[in-house]
Amino acid sequence: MRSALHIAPFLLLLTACQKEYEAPLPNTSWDLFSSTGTTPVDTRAQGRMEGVYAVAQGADLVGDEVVVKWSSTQVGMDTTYHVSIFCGTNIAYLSGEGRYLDSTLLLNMYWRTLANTGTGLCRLTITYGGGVRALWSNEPLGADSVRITGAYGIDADLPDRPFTLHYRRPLAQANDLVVLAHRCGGRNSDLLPASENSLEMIRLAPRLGATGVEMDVRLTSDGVPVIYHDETLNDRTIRPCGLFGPIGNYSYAQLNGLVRLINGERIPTLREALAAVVNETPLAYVWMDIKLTGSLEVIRNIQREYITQAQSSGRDVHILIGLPAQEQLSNFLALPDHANAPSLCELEISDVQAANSEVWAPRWTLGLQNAEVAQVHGQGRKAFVWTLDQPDYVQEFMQAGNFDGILSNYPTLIAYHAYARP
Amino acid sequence: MDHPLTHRVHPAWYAQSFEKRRSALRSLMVLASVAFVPMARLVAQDTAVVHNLGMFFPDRREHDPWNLSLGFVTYTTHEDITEEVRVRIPALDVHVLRHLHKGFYLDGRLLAQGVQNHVSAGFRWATHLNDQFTFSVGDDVAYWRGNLPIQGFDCKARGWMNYPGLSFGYRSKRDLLFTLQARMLITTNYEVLVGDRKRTYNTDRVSGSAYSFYVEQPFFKRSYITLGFTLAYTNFLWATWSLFETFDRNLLYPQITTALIL
Repeated sequence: MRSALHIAPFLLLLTACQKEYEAPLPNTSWDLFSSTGTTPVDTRAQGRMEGVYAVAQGADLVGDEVVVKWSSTQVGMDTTYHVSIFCGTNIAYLSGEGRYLDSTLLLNMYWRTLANTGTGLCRLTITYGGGVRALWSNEPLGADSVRITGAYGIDADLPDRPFTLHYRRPLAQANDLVVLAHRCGGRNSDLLPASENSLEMIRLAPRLGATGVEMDVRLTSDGVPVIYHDETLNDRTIRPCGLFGPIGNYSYAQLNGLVRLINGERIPTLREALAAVVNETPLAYVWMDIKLTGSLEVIRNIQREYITQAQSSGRDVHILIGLPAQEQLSNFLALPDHANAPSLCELEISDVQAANSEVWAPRWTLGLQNAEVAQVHGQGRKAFVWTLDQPDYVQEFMQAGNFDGILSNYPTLIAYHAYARP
Repeated sequence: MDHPLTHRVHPAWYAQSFEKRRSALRSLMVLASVAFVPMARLVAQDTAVVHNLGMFFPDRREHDPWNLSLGFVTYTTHEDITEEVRVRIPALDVHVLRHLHKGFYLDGRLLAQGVQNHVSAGFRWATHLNDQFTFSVGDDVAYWRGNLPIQGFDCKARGWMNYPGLSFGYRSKRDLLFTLQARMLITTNYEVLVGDRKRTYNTDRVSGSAYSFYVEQPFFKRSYITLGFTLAYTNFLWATWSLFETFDRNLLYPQITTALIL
């Protein structure tokens, strides 16, 4: 007892010293970029600009080679185009927008290194002679035909470190790897500018290189499916609001009115999340990780509704009911039309067959499993692996594995390896 | 140019600073050791050696050639890795000390969990600064190994660590032994096997540091007990290898030690 009393103050003192990590994005305001003379970058030039670039300056930050890729999100009739740079080093990425100023292309970006808290501004240009002329021409781009030059800064400092990219080759051909973003983009601990499992994160996902998202589905006390990972309301996922305990104890009205995610967003309903995917993004896959343990009928009805809506918009969006355990599998098999309901099963291949799942999804810690992957391919199914974040193993799985998709907290890293493949 | 001392730094700064910090910490350890040698000698000559049974308390141990304790160490994972589930990993702790000569002794320790185990061995040199204060310096080399052939995992790992450290002891008049210990956690290398794919990491860098506070006190008859609390600030803790965390940030891992000194 005496010992415990002596230890307690020491414990309190040292735990109080625990560092809270943050990575607030710098203010990207750039007078030149937002001046009245600038115009949007046309989609043709965007497409021609995409490619694998050699890093002539700035390799400390992003490695020797990067991938430049454009993406878009749509809100109503407005389409916003973003340019991203995916890197194989430091789990780094850059994201921003581009505009012409006369015949110079300006890129106004920020950078992040996801393994730590590194962030900063990056301002780049492509001059007419340095690449815009090539982007506007009909000639195939050759090596060094586009040179992106500028500088990056650290934290809120103005960019002062040289950053130069030289076009090397087009993006990998026939790239059909599905890049799945965990919790719609990444965990809260990855310190992204949006909260995990939020609508804002869904909109961010294409900029992170994702072609699909994984989201966690739970039920409120009044039966509304919402997107939320943890079983409880806690300070990891939400801002302090006085509510705690199992999320299933609260009605949707209570959650909607009183609870805000860690970056201030609302907890979205499954309907809102699927509507965002279908109507606002080019994402092609949704992996609904089912955390609820009761009937899946409500999920199946929403799934059917949004698959139909996507089809009516001319889009092929695979909305999959994720089956992580035997309980969810049993509830899925209890659905009257389960054989026609697109699903993803994390269990044995025999379970995948029983559920007629479109995708088999084993944990990455089981290894490459090339024989098993070949087996499911032979059955006309796909194989995704989860949740692969280790950079060395990402490379290993890309080079020696045959998975059709990789779920990761670092979609930028997966995208880099997917598009930079020789 | 080095960035100001903030946690938001350029990644390249991390790489450079690891080497700088490692070198600086090594220099500090050497200086501290050298500074204490003459002082300790001056004081120790006039100080009676006091018999005690502490395992972490720095002591010359000339009256106890062997010391043995059995107990448990519990590690708690960080929420950035295991999120709402704060995993507590208990390990059986077998700790042996063997006095060698003039304040030098061997320190051997096994932390066993079955699926993953950690064994360390190293030298200590301890001296009495006066009747109440003692000091020791030492270095342990550790080897750990893990094997997870459980559902969803087909993984093995093993690695080498190095733990140079300093301890300061204070003996109260009520025969309570207080010890403050600071150790560097150096990850020499480790190897991970997932399925049939092996990756080797020859890091050889300072992963972090650990700060411990131990109280050792009489318990029953001639036995003592140890109660300890450790905070490890590190970007790699061997006991959490199977979580495959990827953060290049120092996270806080509390550890609680309880042991019966036999």
